[in-house]
Amino acid sequence: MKRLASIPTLITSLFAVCTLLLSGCSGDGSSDSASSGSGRVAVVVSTLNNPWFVVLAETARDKAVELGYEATIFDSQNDPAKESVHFDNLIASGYDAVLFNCTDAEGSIANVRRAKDAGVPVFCMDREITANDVAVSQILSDNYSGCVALGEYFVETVGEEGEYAEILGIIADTNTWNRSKGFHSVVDRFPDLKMVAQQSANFDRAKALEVMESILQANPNIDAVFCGNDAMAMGAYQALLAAGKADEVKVFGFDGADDVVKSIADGKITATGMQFPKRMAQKAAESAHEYLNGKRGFEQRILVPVELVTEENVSNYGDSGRK
Amino acid sequence: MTSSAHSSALFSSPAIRWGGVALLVVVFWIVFPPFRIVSLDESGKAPAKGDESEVFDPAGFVDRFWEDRLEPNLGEAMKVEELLAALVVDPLEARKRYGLYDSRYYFAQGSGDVVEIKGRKAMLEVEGRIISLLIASPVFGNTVRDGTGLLSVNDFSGLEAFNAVSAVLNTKVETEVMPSLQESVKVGATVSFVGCAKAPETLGEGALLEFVPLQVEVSR
Repeated sequence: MKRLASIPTLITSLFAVCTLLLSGCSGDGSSDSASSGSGRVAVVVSTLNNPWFVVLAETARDKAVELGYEATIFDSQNDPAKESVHFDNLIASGYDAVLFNCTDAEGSIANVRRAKDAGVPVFCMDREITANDVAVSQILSDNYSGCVALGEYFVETVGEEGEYAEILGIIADTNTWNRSKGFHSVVDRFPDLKMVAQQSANFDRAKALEVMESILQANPNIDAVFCGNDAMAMGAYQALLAAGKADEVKVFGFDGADDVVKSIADGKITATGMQFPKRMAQKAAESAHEYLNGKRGFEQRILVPVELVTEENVSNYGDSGRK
Repeated sequence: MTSSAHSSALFSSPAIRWGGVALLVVVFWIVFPPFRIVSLDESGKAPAKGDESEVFDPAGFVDRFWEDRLEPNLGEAMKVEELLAALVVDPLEARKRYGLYDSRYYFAQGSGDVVEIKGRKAMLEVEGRIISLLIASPVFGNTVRDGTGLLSVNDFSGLEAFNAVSAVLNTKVETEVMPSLQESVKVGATVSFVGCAKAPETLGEGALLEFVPLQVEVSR
């Protein structure tokens, strides 16, 4: 009996050792480490293949280090399976808190719940998980409001009639739909503004280039393209440039990435929504610090306002925020 | 031949035996289907599980909110004269002092004389200062949802529900508050209103604040 009871323990230990070894060898796991402090904080980010998320992750890590923690970034590479393995690793390794940018609003709930059950508090950044009782708090961009403002500027600059395309982000991410719905809450009120194509490019620049190329083949006369993030806006712009249509088609992004802010100043991109990744990451790290020092009663969701960046006010913005 | 011997002979036929097995499998599949086909919504998600009562109804929520919480609180909106006096001195200080929802909106009431109609907006003069009042659709954004300070994102299951409420509130203003305004609000009329406005960080030219109305009365 005693021997039987020890088997699950042995399996669990073996699993923990294996996952630790794998995370050390894989190269896609912990990508960076900082100085030791009074505990360890994991920064789990959806992807490091997008500069905006690099800023988010590195700011969260740097703020945690500043607050006295050892901090490690885990890159999920937009893969829920990798994200799940990261959570197994960090729970087994005894991390004290997680600053989390999820890959899937619903699919990631199980990971956060596992961490919670293991006594590891999770603080979501930028991307929402659709549960109210697992993360300690969620610091999120007000995507809907930001895209309402972007939609109003879209109508102002493109006009009340014309054809446009929309390039969506990751279908399973609520940010994709909060942005799209905010934009359409305005643009759909103008029936002569016709959306001739709507396609996902998974928030990915290279994919957006491909998608834009195929949209242009079928719809050569579009006046504008609304992209669910700045990486896709840059990909769409590249496709338009290659097709000789960069001056004819207005490109709208969302994020406030540095390259897009510079492109607005250069007259290449028309507008974006500034999301303030540094502000969200710092707030998440500060919340984790407060929690680990005994504070409770955090608001579940905290919305960070998004600001419209256009050629009229672009000089006020840079370095992923306001200058 | 007895009936038992007859049925024995019947079931000894391989075709009938396999047919019976196949029938049982079909019945089993119908009772315990190995998968089921559901239609996905526009965001690629399966519909919510559980009974209909668990599905959030933004229109029903807004009707209840309007009647039970908003209308009884309209009298609590601050005086627009007091707000404007603070605003012209220091917009940032006014935001801190009177702003709602993270200091981003104002909830105010007052009256003014219509001095100009500019597109969908009536320009009102209030103690020598100009504000605007939206008198025709469409209503965009979250000014109505967030401007009263009565609703919080944490009262909802998530951002999707919270944003849906915003869209329905805007429609309610368009359909229940605004319909007669374009005809009744003319230059020279006096307009009493309760409404919400975005809180500016700086003051530009033109109207000091742009109100979306929640309640309006027009007199000559």
